[in-house]
Amino acid sequence: MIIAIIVSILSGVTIVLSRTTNALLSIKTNTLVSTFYNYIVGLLFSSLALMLFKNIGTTFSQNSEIPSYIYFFGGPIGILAVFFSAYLALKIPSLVMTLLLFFGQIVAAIIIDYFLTNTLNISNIIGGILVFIGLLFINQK
Amino acid sequence: MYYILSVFIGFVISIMVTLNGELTSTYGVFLATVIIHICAILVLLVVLLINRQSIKIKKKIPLYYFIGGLLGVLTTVFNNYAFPFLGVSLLLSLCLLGQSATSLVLDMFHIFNHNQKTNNKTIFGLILLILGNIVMIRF
Repeated sequence: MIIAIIVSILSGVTIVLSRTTNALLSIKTNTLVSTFYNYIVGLLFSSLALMLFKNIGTTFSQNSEIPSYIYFFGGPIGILAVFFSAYLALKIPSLVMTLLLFFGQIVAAIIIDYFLTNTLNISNIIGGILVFIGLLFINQK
Repeated sequence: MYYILSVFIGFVISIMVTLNGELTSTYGVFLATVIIHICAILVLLVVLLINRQSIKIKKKIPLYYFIGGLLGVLTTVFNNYAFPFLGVSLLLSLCLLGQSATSLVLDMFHIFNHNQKTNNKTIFGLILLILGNIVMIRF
């Protein structure tokens, strides 16, 4: 649990750092080409990791209600997120975008967690609201 | 319209983390990460073909510009590992805490030439973010 918490926070660190380096690369090429190389390098390193380390995390049971081919769409819809975030960043203020993105994420996440666990977690809603207000303060100029 | 699209992309991110997490429960963290990258590259190749876009890079680009791919792998591996323990809501809130803290540190030390000022409001916001996450973990 504590490791899961730490790596979740770390995933935020790597998101910001990779976003910044990708922006540098896309100046030299364009968003599409730099995203392509981003995934090629990613495939290289994840293959390397697969060969070097023991695969972990297979012990958890699968949610059998959804057909399994749906799971393969995670990668492709990730590209959708990358492209539209880059597009929206030019159209609306980053404060508004950050807040709306998080709003969408947390609403969808609470609904998804509800369907996966069959319990509506009140603390997730309260926590989500606190995080939202926190974001409002952080992004204020 | 842009606002609705922003919220929609937020939805997409949550769905993505869930699908990748479920893929992990079947194939394990590292194999799932490889599969995610292969699926994404296939779609990207189709898009590149439709746009008749060349993937050749003419200018000389220093190797460290490509480090984003490695960082992207770490993001996916971290998320996939954490998903079964935390669920999507907590995972994404913690991730957002990491993002905000990193942005603040980069701004504070003027790394990557950002010139945003850090003030009491941003610190207060960060404290609220931490509080929100504690509420989600504790209760």
